[in-house]
Amino acid sequence: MSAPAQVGRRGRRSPTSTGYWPILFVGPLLLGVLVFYYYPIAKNLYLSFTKSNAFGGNTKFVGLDNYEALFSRPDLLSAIGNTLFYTAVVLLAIPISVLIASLIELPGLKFASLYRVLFFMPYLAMPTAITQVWKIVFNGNFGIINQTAKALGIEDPPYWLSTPGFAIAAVALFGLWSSIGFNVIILSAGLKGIPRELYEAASIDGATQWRQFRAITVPLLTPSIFFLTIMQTIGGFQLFDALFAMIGSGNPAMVQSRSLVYLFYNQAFINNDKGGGAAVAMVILLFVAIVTAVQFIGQRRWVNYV
Amino acid sequence: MKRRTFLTASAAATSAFGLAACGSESTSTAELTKDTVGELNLSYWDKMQTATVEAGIKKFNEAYPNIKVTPSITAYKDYWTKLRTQAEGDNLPDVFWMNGPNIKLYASNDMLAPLDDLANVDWNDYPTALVDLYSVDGKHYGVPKDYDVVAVWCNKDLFAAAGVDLPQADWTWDDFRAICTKFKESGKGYGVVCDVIGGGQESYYNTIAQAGGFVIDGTKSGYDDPKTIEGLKIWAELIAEGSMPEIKVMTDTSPRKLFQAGQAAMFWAGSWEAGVMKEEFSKPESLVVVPLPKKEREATIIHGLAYVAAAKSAQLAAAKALVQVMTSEEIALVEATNGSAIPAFNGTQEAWTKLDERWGLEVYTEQAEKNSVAYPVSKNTAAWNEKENELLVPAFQGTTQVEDAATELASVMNELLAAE
Repeated sequence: MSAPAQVGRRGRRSPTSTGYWPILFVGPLLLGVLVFYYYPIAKNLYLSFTKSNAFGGNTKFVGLDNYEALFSRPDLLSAIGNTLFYTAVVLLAIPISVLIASLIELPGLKFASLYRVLFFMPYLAMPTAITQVWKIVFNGNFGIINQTAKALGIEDPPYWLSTPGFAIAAVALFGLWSSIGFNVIILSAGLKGIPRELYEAASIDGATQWRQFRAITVPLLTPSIFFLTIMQTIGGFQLFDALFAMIGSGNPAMVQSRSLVYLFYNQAFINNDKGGGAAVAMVILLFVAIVTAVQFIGQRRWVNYV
Repeated sequence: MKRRTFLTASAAATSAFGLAACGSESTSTAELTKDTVGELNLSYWDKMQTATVEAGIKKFNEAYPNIKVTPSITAYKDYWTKLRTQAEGDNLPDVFWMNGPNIKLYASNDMLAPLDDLANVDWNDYPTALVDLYSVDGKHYGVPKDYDVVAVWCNKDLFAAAGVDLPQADWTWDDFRAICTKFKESGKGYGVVCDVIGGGQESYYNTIAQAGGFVIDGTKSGYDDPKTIEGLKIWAELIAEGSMPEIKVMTDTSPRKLFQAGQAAMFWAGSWEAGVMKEEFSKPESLVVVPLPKKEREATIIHGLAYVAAAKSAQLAAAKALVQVMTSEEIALVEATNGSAIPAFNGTQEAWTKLDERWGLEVYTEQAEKNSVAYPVSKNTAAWNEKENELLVPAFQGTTQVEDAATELASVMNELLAAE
């Protein structure tokens, strides 16, 4: 810790005396962030207090009307519930990924890079293309799941994607599966950063592989795990494409399977109500911000930075 | 100068494809000459119709060689989202495809150019129901390009196997239900399949009209009308008695696929299915098309697409000229021969019915002429279409009562209509 400070004192001028140079360097990036991130958020906030026609014209300020309409929607609660459920299931992929990644990174494992490629592959494929495959897997008549179930003697297995309740579970299962690839790559990188000597020392002390996993691997992986938790939570709250592609708007199970973002899409693009859609978007933003803030506060208790 | 331009324009137009620019007030084509230089964008969504679109552009360029037309295709799913974004940015394509559910939305928000001054369009050349569909507040906003109606496809092999007679042309709901019952008893599969999940065009819109009910009248929903409810009930009953697959079955495997797999004897389907059958059905000789059965009256829902021009097109005159070419008799004939849709121009449909002469596709065009009922639309059609799916599908499934669902739908829909 003290070494860089000394270098700073000797070799660099104090940060306040550099004039406008830093702004010049950071400026272009900052401009992009302002224009493409902060401006849309501000504009969205403004839109959420307005009502306009389908083409954004004839805008009227309506105060909190859009929020009132949103909070009196009967499907708001189920949309929040579905979103939370999906996020929770997707987060389950992290412990699974930790196990897979540490197995792949076991010293001396043959074909380790092959496994890494295999697990990462789904992440590279187009999500909508994969959902089409999963739709066939889940198909009630011909799908592999129900065919297997029938072969095992289960009569009348459920129609996964068209039965309320099962539908969101099926999408969550897909979400869990498809997030493993990304998780494993991040965790593999994290594992490479753990010094080998710790394991050597532990095995000299007689620790079993399981004990080493619990006492060395997991604690030292916590920064990566924390990163993934944040990313997957945000991703989970943004559930839309998988839901849209796998269940779709004509499906009788859709009403009970909506997520918050689907609500936004529905309001803004099906009902042509931009203001109402903007209100949903603000609620999602607030939700994600709170959850992420809580996670950052909570991390002090469990994340170890070496 | 002005007069000369006008004369050249009409001369070019007349010589090129028999257009006669009449009336000096028709500024739309008056400023357009063979030498006019410009660029037009044309948006559409069906890749099966690319050949027809290209033929139209070629024809247009014979008259206006210096106007470059750039067609762009967007898959149907994204077409309307993209179009809406383009409309918000005042960046609509000059000419594009329009459908029934969206026409009032675009026309009433001043996105489309009125086409009443199209000199060479005789509105009597197109089915009245379609011309009306694309008229808003007494003005024409689109020229019909094609249409689709609904009829019943029968699998003759299944009828023979079950020992059931094929339906007659003037059959009734009772005959239809009797055939369904016979199929159920024979154990040879479902009597009927039909898409009741993704909207009513192929299913309940037809039965509602046949029963004497209506979906929308001006700004009033017809869903609480007893006759409308009768038109809805038939679907719930068909599913309840096992004549039609349960909703979940038809959600996972489309009615079309079920019919093609020989699991159902009859398939209520739009005319667009003809092209699909041609491509996909393995035993085309076993198919025959009959009209929809009647209740109080005969009825088939007609819907069709139209070509429209953007109100803010920088080259409105050229855009309107392009609309005329694309909806002309000549291009309609090209469309019919390509077989991808029934052209709207009266008298050009025959080539389409020859897609497979064994099927009796004339049923579609005859029904369109005699019994067509306009597809129900309002300014914000999509909003209540969503509610139809939400409320009616559980009723068809039997989870809710049809009367309750229909009454609730009527009140929700009336609210939405009032908000338009």
